Amino acid sequence: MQKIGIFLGCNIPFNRPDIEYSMRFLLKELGVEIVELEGATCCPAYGTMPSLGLLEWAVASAWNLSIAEEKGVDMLTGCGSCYGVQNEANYYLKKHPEIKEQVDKILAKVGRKYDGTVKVWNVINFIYEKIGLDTLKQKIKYNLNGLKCAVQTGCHNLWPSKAFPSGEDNTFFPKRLREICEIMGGVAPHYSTITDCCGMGALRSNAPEKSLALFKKKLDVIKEELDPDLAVIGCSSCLLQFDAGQALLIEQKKLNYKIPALHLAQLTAIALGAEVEKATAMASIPLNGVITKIKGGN
Amino acid sequence: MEEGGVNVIDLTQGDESFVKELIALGADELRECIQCGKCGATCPMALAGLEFFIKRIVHAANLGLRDILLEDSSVWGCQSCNRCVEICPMDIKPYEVIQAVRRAAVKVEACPANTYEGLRNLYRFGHAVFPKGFEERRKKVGLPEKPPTALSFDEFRKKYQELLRQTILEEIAPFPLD
Amino acid sequence: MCTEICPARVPNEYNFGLDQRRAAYIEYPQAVPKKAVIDEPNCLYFKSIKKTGKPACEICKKGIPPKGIQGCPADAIKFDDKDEYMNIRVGAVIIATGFKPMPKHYFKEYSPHSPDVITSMEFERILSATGPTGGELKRPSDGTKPKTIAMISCVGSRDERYHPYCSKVCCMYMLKHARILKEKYPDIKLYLFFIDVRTAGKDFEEFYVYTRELGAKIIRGGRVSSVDVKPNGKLRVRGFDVDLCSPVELEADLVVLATAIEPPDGVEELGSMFTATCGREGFLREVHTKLYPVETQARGVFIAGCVQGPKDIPESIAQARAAASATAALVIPGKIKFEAIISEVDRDKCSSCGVCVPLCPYTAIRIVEYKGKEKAYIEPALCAGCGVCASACPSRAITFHGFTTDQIMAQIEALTEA
Repeated sequence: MQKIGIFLGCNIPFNRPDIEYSMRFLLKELGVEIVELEGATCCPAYGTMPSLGLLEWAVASAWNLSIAEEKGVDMLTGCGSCYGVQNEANYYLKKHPEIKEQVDKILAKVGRKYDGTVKVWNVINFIYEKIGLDTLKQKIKYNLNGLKCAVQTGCHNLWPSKAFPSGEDNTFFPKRLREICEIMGGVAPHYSTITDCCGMGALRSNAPEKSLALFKKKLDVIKEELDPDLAVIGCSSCLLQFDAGQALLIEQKKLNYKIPALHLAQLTAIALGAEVEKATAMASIPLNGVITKIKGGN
Repeated sequence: MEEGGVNVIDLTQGDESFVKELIALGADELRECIQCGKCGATCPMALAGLEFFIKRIVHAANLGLRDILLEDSSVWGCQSCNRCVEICPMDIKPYEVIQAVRRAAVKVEACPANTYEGLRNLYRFGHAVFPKGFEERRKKVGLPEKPPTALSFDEFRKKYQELLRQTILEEIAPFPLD
Repeated sequence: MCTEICPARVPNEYNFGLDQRRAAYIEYPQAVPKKAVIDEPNCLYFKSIKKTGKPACEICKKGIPPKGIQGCPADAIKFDDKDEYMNIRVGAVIIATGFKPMPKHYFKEYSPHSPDVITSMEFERILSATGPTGGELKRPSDGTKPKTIAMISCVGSRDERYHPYCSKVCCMYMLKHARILKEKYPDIKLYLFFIDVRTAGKDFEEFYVYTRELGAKIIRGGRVSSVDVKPNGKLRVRGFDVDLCSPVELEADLVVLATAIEPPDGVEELGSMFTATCGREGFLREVHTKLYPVETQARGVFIAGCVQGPKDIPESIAQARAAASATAALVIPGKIKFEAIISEVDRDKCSSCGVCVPLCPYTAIRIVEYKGKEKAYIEPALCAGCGVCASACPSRAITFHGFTTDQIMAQIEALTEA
């Protein structure tokens, strides 16, 4: 039986536990043993330790990586930032032996060590490589019934690709998330702003108006080019923007349409038969139409 | 720029020691930038209209314009999307320049308040993002009130705090580390 | 005739596969000699002979009589002709094998999968009267005439990931393309994205200003960030405009990438056949940038054109003439002057160990018979006077004229005195 360490991060357990529920559900349904990473912390977010220094970044990530290593498992995360931050830290630790040396010393002081053996996965690459599209197709209970999906892989799941253990052939023309949606019975065309930033993150914290304007520009292109039933998101931060951020735009009367949004983990969990109320508990944009379509109605 | 000030940047205020500081803080290939502009048109900071964005920041950094860079808060709006790193033809890793400017800013307390808030949360709870009311949200989906992270394990949290105190956080944190 | 009636069709290499040629073909309109050849692997005659032993097609030779189509009127088709390799003894060689344009597939951020994203070389063919469209401006995907074209400079040049050098000719040929288009189709919208516009050369700046006057739009400080395909087939181009101090974007029907000039395939092997070496960037290296620009370190081997580095036509011609002069100066007198500072073997001392032979970078040392024994011999016309053999010879049988052991010892003594 396949095992994986579930790395929660911050946004998923505190803001969107419906994604945590979905991740746990889909792993169970797909026959993957979940290993809890007790004592894990924030990845740490780009604006925190990474903004203090390279050593600060590396040592704080090494804390989490060492917990997974001790349990002998790789890590799975639903958050793009957790994926990017920790993979980059892994990459730096391999590339800069002088930093690794300092990190080792600090870890030793708190009774830990990290040998660099842990691979960090996101939900997209995990399903694509470790589960396989064929297995997923066999296991789902509900077909997406031609649901038109606009996919958002998320910047941190794409770049910097050389620091990542696996990923897209062309990060400017991502296909994996589209293929996953399509194997479950959806339709997921390419659109021209598919790799554009959603605006969530530091920009949202420091310049919310500008962040939402950037997001709206992307949404308008999605609406114009695809007019989808659903946005399928590979990153929990992007989901916050696509869902709560979109609701904010609607509330501010800056948007006159709605595109429901789900994290890939949520969509997959629903297709595998998860309780919809739990899998979508925190959604701001109503998902009724989407759920009806998945559950076989028209 | 000061209200009513003249719109000119005095290049002689450029300080080479600032360039060297940034290089030491991780922007090690800063000087190789030829200002080709490739990073400029897909940078979220540029598209969102921040005063300073990647191309401008790299240039100002190369000119050693310390005050101008540290007075402006644009670097804190960088999304860390790393698209610039992916496409930079000179491989200068532009995002590392942003991080280097942030690292220089933190040393002189030239950063927005929410940076400290994130660091404080990280230190106290092990989580930089720590919104109120999460217990209710977790209960709603049938999960335990607290996730099995450092938040649930005092001994882990204490060790993690000890680890953080071994870093520069010990010197720059404007909040008590105990 | 044969090039029109041959039934086998293959992608036309000269037009970068934008159209097809026959298996009996003339390589390109200016080919010298302008004679048709048969492309054996794709010819139906040869294919069927190989498979069944019987020829399935001889249309180029015999025509199709029932349809009144005549075969080669000169009766010049010879199926039994064979490739021949000839040995020619020459006194000097000029290597002028040109360059290779970089293909587009490396640049993933520019949607290389779109047929409407093409390289400048492909665009050059599309603009040519003898090209795949007969000189008509058509975009590859649907054959429509593009209304808006974006051209992108420095694609793979000035780029640490591919080629750090400037390809030198792109700025000017982009302006040339713009001028041809604007003169022919005044309403066409052209956006040329440059990092810098490099117009060093006689009349070049004037050409640039004239192209601006024709209405081509120049965007500077803006290596393009991305090209994305819209569902309607249009291409969204995003770049930075340093003069507007702003990111800019536009929708184009066709995007032309000025990809880098690369050394031709196999140049390193070719060079090593002549003991000429390549520089860091893979182009053949001249002996001295200023003083010996057409000479290689192999005596009698000269270089001209882009095999030595990116250059335009006037410069290539100037260099070719210089190489021809240098060659003539070497060959025409019928005699060769040896350099004074070269090595020589005292064959009576030589122990025949052969250590020096592989060490010589100029393949100037051979083992030849001397007084009934095999001894080393240094060809004075090839020796470049590097001294490697003299320092390696265990029998001290090699004298490096001008730097003999006695002379060097005397120098050391003088230097270390008191």
